[in-house]
Amino acid sequence: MNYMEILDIVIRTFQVAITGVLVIAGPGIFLGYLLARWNFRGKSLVETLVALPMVLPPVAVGLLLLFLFSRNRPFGDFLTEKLGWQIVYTWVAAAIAAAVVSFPLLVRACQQAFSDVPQRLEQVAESLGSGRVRRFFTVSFPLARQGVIYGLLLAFCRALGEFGATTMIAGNIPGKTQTLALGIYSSVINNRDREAFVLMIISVVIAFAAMYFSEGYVKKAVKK
Amino acid sequence: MNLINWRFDLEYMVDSFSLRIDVDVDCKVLAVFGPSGAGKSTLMELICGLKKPRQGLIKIGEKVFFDSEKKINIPARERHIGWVPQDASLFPHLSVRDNICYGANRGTAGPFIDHVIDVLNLGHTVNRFPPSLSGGEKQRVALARALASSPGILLLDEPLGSLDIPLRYKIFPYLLKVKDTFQIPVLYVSHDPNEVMTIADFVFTLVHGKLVNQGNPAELLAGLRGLSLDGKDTPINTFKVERKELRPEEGIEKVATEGGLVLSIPLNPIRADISGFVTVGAHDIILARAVPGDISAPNILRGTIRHFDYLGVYSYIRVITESMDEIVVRTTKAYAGELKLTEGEQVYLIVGAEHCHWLTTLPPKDPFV
Repeated sequence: MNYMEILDIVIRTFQVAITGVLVIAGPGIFLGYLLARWNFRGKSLVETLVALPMVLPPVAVGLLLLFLFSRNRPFGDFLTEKLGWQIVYTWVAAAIAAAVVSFPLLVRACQQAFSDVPQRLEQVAESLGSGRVRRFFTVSFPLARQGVIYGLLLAFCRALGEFGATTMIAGNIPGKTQTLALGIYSSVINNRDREAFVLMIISVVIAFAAMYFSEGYVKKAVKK
Repeated sequence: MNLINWRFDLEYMVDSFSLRIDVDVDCKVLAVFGPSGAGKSTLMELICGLKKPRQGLIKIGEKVFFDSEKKINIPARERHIGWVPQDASLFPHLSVRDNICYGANRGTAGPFIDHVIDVLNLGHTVNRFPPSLSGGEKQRVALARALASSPGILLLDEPLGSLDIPLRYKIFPYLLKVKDTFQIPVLYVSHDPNEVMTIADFVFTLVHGKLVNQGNPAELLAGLRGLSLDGKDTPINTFKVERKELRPEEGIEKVATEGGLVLSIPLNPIRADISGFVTVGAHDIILARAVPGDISAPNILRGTIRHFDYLGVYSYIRVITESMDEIVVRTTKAYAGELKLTEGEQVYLIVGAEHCHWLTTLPPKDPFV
């Protein structure tokens, strides 16, 4: 594996993780807010469903995704035949896998962040004539922002290291779907220990930097 | 400001707490009085529209906010009520000016907001953020924010409740100033009889979610003076007095209650009224068995112990003076125990002049001067 191939893996890893996090950012923040602020029938069921990808074996999650997006299944067939989107065994599939496994972390962090915003402030805003959308963007979100950003960083870190679900739905195709985690695995089973070591060091540096940044951000936010 | 009709006939239940009220009164400033847990704040939230009554009617002036029979329930954001919660609840991420402007009409409110800021003496704080404000400043900003939204009614939910006593004396004149300047009907919630007697022209008392009485504040609360209902604060003894003598050379003036209790208090040269209320904190009174000699306090009052109350580490001793005024004295339990005081025993109360204060009824131009 030459430097260009390693750089290609690193770029694809970032591409997959960033895309995955961008896809779940909106729904994750919104769902976190809903779970923090609304009590509704079936809330526990929703919370359990959201947490499921966190506790299921990643390969099981990957298998579920494969069933969903496979061309042999109605939804996958619809995407391929009607829209011309071939998902399985592409980097997009890897991004979907990363998004699904990161989603619970983002929702949990956002739910906590919005729960920490005193509801009294939203009530005061309401008494001052502010509607629901304005209240969210002028009071709830700005005050929960630090927790939300922490959740996004946490989801990004989880997406960087995703392996099990990705192999199921995206495969491990060098130059096409191979990410750092998959690259390490391939190198090890092919007895290319030196390559595996290099990729592992890169993974550690990226993960360390992301976590260091997010933890540092939280500490800075707490000090404020 | 004209009289306004306040009509609450409502029922609210949650878990084991229930609130039932039936009030129909015409006044400018209506007070809700009662101990903690009586349902005062719940009533505020019902009026604001943040909670929904099970059934009933909420009508202030001509505006019907809630009517279960006619299925009317105006959303909180459309009620135009200026609500000042007990803890101020300022938006911590917005500057003072942005807090004040939050509910204001963007197009037309500029000069009015400047007027509000001026009245509440907040000019020096507008670029600061809430965490850097003192407790009194936070309350004034919350008041300014409510006023800037041009409300039809002002709801003040224990606006001084989170402040210590010296700060209450500083902030209270602002409330009176707001009442006189903006001419907005006010619903004032408090557990302090002194505040209620000074600001309100009608009061109803809530206990455990039930209306127990209603009427003129001075008549209704006279028997409760000096008593802090929830025991969180130091009780304040309040005396209705008349000014009897000015002694500028000594820096004092003499006032007397209807019963003839004479107190020497610090001279207040800017005060024009000859009558009003004078307060003395229960913790500012020293209790002695014998007449003390050679002390600086000018007020030595003889009285008889009527009753003991114990709350936390304190004992509250009620003493009836020779003029039949009741005074509450706060001491530690240990002190009361050491002296082995008993009910019916004669004692002397020592009150320094500097601990006696006029309860301000007319706001000075700047209470910080």
